Amino acid sequence: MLRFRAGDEGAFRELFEKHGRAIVNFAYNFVGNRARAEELAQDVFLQVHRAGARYEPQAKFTTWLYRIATNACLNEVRRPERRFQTRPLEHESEDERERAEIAIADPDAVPGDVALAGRQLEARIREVLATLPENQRAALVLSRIDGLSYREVAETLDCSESAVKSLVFRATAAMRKGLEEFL
Amino acid sequence: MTAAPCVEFAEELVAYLDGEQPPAEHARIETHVGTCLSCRRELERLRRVRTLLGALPVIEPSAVFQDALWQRLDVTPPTRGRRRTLVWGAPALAAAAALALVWYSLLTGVTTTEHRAPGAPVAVAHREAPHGGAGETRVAAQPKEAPDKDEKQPDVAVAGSDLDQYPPELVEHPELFLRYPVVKRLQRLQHFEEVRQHGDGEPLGTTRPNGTRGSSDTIG
Repeated sequence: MLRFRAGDEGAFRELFEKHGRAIVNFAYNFVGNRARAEELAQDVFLQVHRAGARYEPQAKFTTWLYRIATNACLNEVRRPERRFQTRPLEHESEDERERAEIAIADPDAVPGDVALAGRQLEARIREVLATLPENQRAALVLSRIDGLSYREVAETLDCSESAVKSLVFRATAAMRKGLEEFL
Repeated sequence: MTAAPCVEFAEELVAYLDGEQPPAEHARIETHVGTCLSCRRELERLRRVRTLLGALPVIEPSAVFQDALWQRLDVTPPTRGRRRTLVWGAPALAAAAALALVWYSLLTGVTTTEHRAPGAPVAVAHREAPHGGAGETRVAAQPKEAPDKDEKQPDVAVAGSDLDQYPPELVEHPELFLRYPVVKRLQRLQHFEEVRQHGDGEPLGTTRPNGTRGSSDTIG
């Protein structure tokens, strides 16, 4: 990022290639829509590009990047038209359904009912995830899926570590309740 | 129905699984879980939840994802200097060019209309050398047939101009014009180079074809 700040456009491309997929996945886990997730990820990198000249390395770059991504996702889910919106599995495109089966490492190597079970499980996980309060969802996705430490999550969400601990606990407890049938 | 975990430890179990507790606290929970069946079962369920979340498939961005970003970068006003020049510089340059043309026409208008007779050569690049004989011109200095009286003469040539005809601040401090951002962008313009080098004592509008100013060539 410092190279990019110094005017090296190639450094920005490297950042994008290194973190682009992670941000798309973060957004996808947050908003549950693949196309929208890609747009949000683009928004994130547009912001990174705009902020390049005044970037100050006060935190880890990934923490800063996830902060931008989290804010973008929070803005997205807070949009009025998205409120109370749930997206049933049948609204998934065929492509997304196929991708959902990736949960099973090799669909051809397992019986069809197992692949179906994997698909249903993933749909259920995403469904429960979507019902979590925004901050809980953010804390859970950042820590559990993207692998950030509580301290990094706290920096990303601009709150204390103890608050993150509480958010992650409540989110995990809610997920446990929602996934009871699969446990 | 499963028994609820101990209230004291319920919230600690997730942090325990995440390895986010100090060693002493970690050891305390470990000891407790070893003796409490409810907490051990709860811990196992939470562990499965973590495993399921961690096993969510990673999606690959679509083929157009990257291209779409570059396209959006091209149309979005960026903050970096180079791109801002590209996006916002065009109107400013256009305005600067217009200003420069006005300025140029004012300067040349003062010096040419009063001195050039009908039919005189139209100097574009350089003037006749004093020793070269009357009417000798090079390259762009083309003799022109005497036009009809009604025909308006182009005000391009500069001959016999006097420094007094130019603004004194321009003559004495041509570098002042460098301070104007608009003019600064027009350094390539030929007339500005001439203004900047005006200390040679030659009027505006005289430049050799190779871009240098000549002191010996004049238009006859």
